[in-house]
Amino acid sequence: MNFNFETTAGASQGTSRAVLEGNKIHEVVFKGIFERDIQGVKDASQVYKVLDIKFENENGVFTDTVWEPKGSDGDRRESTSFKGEKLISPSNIEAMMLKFKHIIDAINPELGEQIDNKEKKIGAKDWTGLKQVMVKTTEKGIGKTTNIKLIINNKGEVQFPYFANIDKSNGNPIITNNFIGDKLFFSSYEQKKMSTQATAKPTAASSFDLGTTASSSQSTEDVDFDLDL
Amino acid sequence: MKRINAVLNFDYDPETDTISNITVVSEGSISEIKKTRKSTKKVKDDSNLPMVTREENKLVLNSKLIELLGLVHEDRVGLAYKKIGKINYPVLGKAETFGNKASGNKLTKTNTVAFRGNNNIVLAEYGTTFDVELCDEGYVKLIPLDKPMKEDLTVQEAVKTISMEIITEDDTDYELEDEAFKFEL
Repeated sequence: MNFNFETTAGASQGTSRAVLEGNKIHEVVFKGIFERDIQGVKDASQVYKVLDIKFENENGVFTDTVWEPKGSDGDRRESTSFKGEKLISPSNIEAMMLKFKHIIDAINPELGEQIDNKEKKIGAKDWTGLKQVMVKTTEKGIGKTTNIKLIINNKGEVQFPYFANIDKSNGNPIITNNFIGDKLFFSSYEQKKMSTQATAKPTAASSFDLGTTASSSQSTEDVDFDLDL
Repeated sequence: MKRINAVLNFDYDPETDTISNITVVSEGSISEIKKTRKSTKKVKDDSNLPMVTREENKLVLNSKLIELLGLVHEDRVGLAYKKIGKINYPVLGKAETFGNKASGNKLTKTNTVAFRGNNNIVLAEYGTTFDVELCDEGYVKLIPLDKPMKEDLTVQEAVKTISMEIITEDDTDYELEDEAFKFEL
């Protein structure tokens, strides 16, 4: 039997790109916003129409996926602080629109300014229209270099930080934690969380009961590892 | 000095705005007057260099730093963290330099900024008294005077700093023939 590397020539390096590291601010190139359909897993007939916002640099890629809002996503959320104060957070739709505007400000700042000055009114009557608006309004900035702030969430996933809040003076939704553009910093809260994550130690293996004692009597000595070639 | 409580009679001339013929009608108690002085306590501000001091619930900015950052009373002052080189430095400046005018707290007349809770705890990890260095972006990075700065490496960066070398006894071990490998089983 002959073995050679002809059939695998050029395939020694994987072509998939690593996801950019979390808890870091990266200089990246904006690659564009793309519409994508995702087939449902539990219900195969369900198709989710999402927007992918893509960035990359030499170290990897980052894609932020925005899902179509549902009915309840228009409601503001209420919670209670540890001091017992009632806190109100922007709705998911308000947060999504803040995210889109923040991205337009960084990728197409001229348009962002025109929106702020009410020189241009941009909107859409439904999700399909909004997706097209976002693709179109950011096309001009494809290839532009900017910065993004990524954090690691409690599940260990890399994502944009939470950024939306309510301005107490007028009740409007505002961005209080920039995640794209030139003015990116980590807050005390994020700094503390990053420190905790950096110093976290894995659970000692000895604390796990792997159930090996029950089967330890089963010897592996006689197992035959012959390879039939 | 003593204070005498008494009832007096006197004549007052409104034209000349003078009093005369003062007589004591009844004499009351005599008490000591304690000298009271207005507090002249000031934040120690004798450094020629701009500095920040972290106290229990506030940050104290000295006058040199106020001047350096061009701050005035009621300006909002923020503190955040930014990686400069390999170190995540605390950085301090006007709220707008951090891209959010509503962030931070207002500068008081005594050059302090409220700085409580988690914010204070996190900065305490860095130190209490800080020297500063002005950055191009308009904020200052804080350099602790009482604690050394720690490098804040991510795992990937830490791995990159380790020099990895493969040691072989004889280079010829790795010379490969042009021919394909043949396994004879």
